[in-house]
Amino acid sequence: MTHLTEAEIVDLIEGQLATERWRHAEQCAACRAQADALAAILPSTRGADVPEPSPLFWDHLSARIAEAIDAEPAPSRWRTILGVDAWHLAFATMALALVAGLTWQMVLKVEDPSRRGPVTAPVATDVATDADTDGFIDAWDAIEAAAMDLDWEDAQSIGIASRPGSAERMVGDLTAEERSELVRLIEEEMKRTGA
Amino acid sequence: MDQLDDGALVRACLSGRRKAFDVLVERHRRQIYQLCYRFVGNHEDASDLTQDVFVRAYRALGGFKGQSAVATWLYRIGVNVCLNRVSVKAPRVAAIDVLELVPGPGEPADQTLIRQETARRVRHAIARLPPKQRATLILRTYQDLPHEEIAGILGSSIGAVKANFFHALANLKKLLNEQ
Repeated sequence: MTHLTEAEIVDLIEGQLATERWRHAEQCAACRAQADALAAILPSTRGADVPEPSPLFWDHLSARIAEAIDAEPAPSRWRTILGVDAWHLAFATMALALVAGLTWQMVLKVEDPSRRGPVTAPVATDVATDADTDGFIDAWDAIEAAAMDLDWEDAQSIGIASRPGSAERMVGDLTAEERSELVRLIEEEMKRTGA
Repeated sequence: MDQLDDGALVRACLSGRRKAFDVLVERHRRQIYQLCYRFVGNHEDASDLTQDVFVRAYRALGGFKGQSAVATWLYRIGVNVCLNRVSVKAPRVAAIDVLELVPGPGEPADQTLIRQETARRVRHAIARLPPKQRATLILRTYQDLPHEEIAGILGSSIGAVKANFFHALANLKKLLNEQ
């Protein structure tokens, strides 16, 4: 029969060994010796009490803890569940809703080639584009204001921050035409800002 | 508020009654301090760790679901705080404290000295055990927790807890013989 495992030796010391393993424990001197040697350590560990601190210590400790707790925000189930402050989450949600709404609006405004009507004057298109850009800037200002107090860690924790390498992956997905347009826009912006 | 049980104090605290937490601190500070002391072996670090345990408990109060006793939940936080600390800082075991030298009732002074020296040697040996073995030994021997509860606190299986306890005792025997 196999020797007792480490867990079974512990069970033997604590008087919890399964009955079917008792027969081995009774017959095997090696297992019994191992259990006896470890059991002999237990009384010395039990005598090692923690020294009692000064009677004044407990009140001092409570005061220290209370002071540290007072510096903490009040606990709430929502904060613990979400891992972020509720108002941070509200801002982030509002920002996401605005982005989603704006994107949807822009998608709706893209002309379907199959339904394209007679060619209109370029001026009209320019006016529409300017109006869209104004709308975009207004929406962006609103997002910026809403997210101003959202710190990086919270943005990451709720999954709206960009991940390392995501910009590279996005550029990698662009077509050659889109990439050259991106280069043109960047150069134009750099010229404009003097960067 | 002193009459409320631990669960009711947690609920009171979550509903904005901050003083309820003070009662929880008063109720559990000794056990948590003793747990921390056994991990680090000196009063200063044990006090700092005890404070840390209660601050973390306060922050996590909203997540307490009442599935385990508040004491067990605090032990779990305490063990994690202590394991984190001992992984970055080697324990500094205190020499015999003057307060320890007070003789027990009817105990001769030389017996007191021997008893306290033995206790110091054991604490010193425990402080040198690997962290998980130390945690298991402390929770089993001093806090008297069942293996199942220790497994829950340490996030291990019951078999692993028993194996850790076995190795803790074997290592303790070796360390005490070395001294």
